[in-house]
Amino acid sequence: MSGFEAVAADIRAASKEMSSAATGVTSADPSASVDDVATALPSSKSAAAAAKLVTAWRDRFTGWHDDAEAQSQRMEDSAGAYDASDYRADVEQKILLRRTGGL
Amino acid sequence: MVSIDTLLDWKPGTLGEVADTLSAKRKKLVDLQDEIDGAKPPATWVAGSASRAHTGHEKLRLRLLDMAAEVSDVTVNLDDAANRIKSAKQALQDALSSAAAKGFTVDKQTGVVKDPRTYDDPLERDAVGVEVDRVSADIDAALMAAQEADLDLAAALTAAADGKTDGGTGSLYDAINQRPVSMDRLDPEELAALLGDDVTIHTVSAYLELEAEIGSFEFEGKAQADYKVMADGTTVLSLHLEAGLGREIEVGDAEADVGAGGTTDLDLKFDNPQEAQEFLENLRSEAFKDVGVWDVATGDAPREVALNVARYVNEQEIDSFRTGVYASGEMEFDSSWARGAVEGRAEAYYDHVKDQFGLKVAASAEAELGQKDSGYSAAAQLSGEIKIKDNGDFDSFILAGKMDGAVANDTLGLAAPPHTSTGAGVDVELKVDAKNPALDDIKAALQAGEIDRAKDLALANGELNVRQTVIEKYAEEDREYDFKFGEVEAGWGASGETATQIWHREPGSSEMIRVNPATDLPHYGGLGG
Repeated sequence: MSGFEAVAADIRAASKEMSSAATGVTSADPSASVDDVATALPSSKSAAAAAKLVTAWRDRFTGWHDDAEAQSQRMEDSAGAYDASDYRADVEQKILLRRTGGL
Repeated sequence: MVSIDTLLDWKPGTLGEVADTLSAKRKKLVDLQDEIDGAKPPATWVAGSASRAHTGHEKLRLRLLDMAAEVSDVTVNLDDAANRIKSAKQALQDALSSAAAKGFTVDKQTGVVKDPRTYDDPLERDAVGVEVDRVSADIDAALMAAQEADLDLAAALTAAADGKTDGGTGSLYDAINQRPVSMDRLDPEELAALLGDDVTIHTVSAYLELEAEIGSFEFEGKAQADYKVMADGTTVLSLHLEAGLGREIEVGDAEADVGAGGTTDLDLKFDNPQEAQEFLENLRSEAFKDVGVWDVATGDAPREVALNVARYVNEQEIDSFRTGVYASGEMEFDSSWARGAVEGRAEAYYDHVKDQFGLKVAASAEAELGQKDSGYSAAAQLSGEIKIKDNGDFDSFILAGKMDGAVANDTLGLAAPPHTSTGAGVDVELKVDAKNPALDDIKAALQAGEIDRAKDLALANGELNVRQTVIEKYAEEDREYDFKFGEVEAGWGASGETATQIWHREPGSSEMIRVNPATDLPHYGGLGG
């Protein structure tokens, strides 16, 4: 595998991991369970607060999933577009960074 | 305030189930660490959209840390609220039963307690009035406790909804280090008091060995001291004296060498680590105090050394004094449940200061811990001790030992750092005392001699302390005293064990709180305290 192919493979691997994390977060979404606080403690302050949390968590977990999938897709796209010229640009940038003490 | 009807309608058990579900969700989140690490854009990729990908990954990572922290915070508060509301509801039901038994009426909306009867005798009326006030106060206290638990839980739920729970910038495991709102209010001293004398922060094991040879006469003695600084700063020095060293120590009518093995175990209590350290430092010089050539020449040196040690120990506050190794047949108890536990156990002692019998159930507990294919038996080595008051009443049941870190994570629901799975493991102590919510079941198991069942119940309901420790050797020294006619050799050494991380679970709770002694406890800071 050439240098630029290796980098593209690494980007794809990272993209897959991000997609896995997105799936994992969906299965870890606790928002539905919080509804039961109202069943457990009717007429309580906690029941009212729980209703608000159900919505907040649902949005937050769904939002994270969607953003993670979008990140994964962008990386997948970058890997597809990553060609020899990108590789040369990477190498040149690394050399520049090293010379300027940035790497 | 919460009304009586409302509290009676609350279901703490359901709340506990929500906590359990969230606990499982929290574990799923923490388990995503590998994916998050693997999703990091490769370092070899620096051009093009690499910068945007790096920024995007970091933002997602930080958001996930906050979400994990929120889930954990809500979990611990649900568990805390479930336990507090359960206690409050029980207290309310007890108060209502008490009111009914006395013929009082209770308005379940307003909480007002009344006695419908009339009294001619003012003294009798006053006496009943006191009773009405007492029941009313009990009801108010229960309702107040439930309300406080509800408000604390509501605060935690609102903080999570508003995104105010900070997950930091470290790992997902670090992000879930949460304590309930009720515990957040504790200052370091109060937190230490919660852990109290159940959790050891430092242990220093020191020994003093003596060997005297005078012609054909040989004397050997060993004093082993385990010096323990507890979470609340009190210091206990457990002294194990062998052979002649303990023979002159007397507490009450007990003499040290009453046991078959002639061993004596003493716990000396000190207010702080410094006092205990002074004791240890002086032990060596006190042991040899005024022991001269003449004593050696006449063969009295060993006795003088023993007398010196005994005198010095007797000057201290003796918290526990245990003697003897008894066979089970020699133990007699009035309590029937204790007999079941005694059967087949060989080791027991009597504590003359605490008026308490102790039964060691190590072998049985260890063997019974094994559950086929669970991987539990190989990793868990817990030894047990049942303490019984001399009137036959139950005092406590303790199981303690080393547990593999991975097994501790699985069995106890800990989120111990990953490296403990391959490291030396963790120290686990389970304690069941008279206040335990599952006490009757545990006593019944012990009564039937079923240590295994008692262990399972203790795992589920007991107070649990898990410690991760580091061990260090402080000193090792040998000295020879040559008295021309003979020799006295003294060996001295000490090693220390310090808890770097503690998990604590209150009896009946499912959630472990994590305590870092270095930052959370005031008495941490080495032997100087």
